[in-house]
Amino acid sequence: MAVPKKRLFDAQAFLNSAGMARKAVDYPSATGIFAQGDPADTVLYIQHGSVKLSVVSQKGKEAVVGVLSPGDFFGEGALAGQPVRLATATAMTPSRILVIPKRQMIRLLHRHHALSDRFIAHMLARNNRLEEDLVDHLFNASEKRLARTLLLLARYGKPDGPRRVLPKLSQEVLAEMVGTTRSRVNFFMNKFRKLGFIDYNGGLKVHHALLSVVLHDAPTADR
Amino acid sequence: MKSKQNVSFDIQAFLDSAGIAKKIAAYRRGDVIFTQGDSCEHVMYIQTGSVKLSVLSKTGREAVVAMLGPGEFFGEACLAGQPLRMGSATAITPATILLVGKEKMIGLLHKQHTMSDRFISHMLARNIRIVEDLIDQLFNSSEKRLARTLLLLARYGMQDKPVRVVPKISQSTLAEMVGTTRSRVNFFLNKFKRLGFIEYNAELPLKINNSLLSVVLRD
Repeated sequence: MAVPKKRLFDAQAFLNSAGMARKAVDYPSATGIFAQGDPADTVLYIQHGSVKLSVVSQKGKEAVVGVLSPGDFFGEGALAGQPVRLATATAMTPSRILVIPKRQMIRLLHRHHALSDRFIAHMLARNNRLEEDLVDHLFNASEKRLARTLLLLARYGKPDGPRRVLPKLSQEVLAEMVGTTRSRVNFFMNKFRKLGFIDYNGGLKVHHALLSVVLHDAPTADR
Repeated sequence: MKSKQNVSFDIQAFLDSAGIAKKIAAYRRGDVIFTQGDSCEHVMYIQTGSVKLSVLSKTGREAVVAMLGPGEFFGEACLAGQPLRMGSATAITPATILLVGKEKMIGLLHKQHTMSDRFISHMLARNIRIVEDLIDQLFNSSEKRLARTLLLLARYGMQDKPVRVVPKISQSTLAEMVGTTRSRVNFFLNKFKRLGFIEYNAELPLKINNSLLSVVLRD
């Protein structure tokens, strides 16, 4: 019987593996992980892949409120006592998701500050990004919002970015992310292409020049 | 295996008092607490009063991203390594604010799980509210957004009873919260008044009637 010495809790190893009371689940591309209205009793963590969070209005309109990548948590509303999921989570690419029961997550956050640090960092980054998205809506026209969305998807401004070719993404999903119609997205995408800001050959490529749409600060009349 | 170092850290007492590496500052209505571009050195906690968080665009337009009340933190982005404030914070009522040094806050989050619990709850609540605001922008017209903003200011849907009377707030601030122009706000306020949803007169505080809910609920 080993003497229980206080060992360093390895948050990364914990998150990258499965184990007691937590399991890793594989989702093929475009499968649902949970749906708006499902009971919220787990917190999820993306080991690899990418996940879209979306919300459906009473009228059936869909809006994308987040596109998450490896290292992100989601479904954390469960910790705030939310009884049901307020959004739908869908795998956008083949994804491996760690599913942690809510009670275990609460216990781990108490005991291991490596994990609570990690979780707080995630929440800070997520809230920051959401606040930026909100400000983007309050200030910018849909053309600029589309340009910003494409640049962020291409990871401009990230240490590991930019990647030039984007994962496959329909114009509908782009419209739901930007908060406009598919036909407006189509119109602006064609405009960006004509101006040489993007091209479609062998996947969508985003060029540096697209930054000019975001940086150029013309008076924004339409919203 | 109980750790003795955690001799019940009293988080409420900590947040309600001043001390080493933390101080309390009093602000009057309209005072600026920090400005976009200031260096990020403290995490703030509202002991009393209300605080507006806003962002200025390059062209000088302002957008209000949050209205916060007692018991809420703000300026927490410096914990994520942000060197400068990305927005401004203004007292909208007389307010007492606890300023906790960034390093001190990081230490507390490590050592005191009552603090990390409290802070995580705050972050989760903020997250839920920002997502709701974003969804509102994605789905709703400016008329509906204005009605929702007024109802939330009157604390509809909170655990305590709605206050009905909205704290004094200008049409320009309402426009910055909703993401529209002052003239649209004026137009809708007059419409709501005509329909009996609000009691509104430029000199008096605005009163909300239950019937305003109909604007938000009808689809």
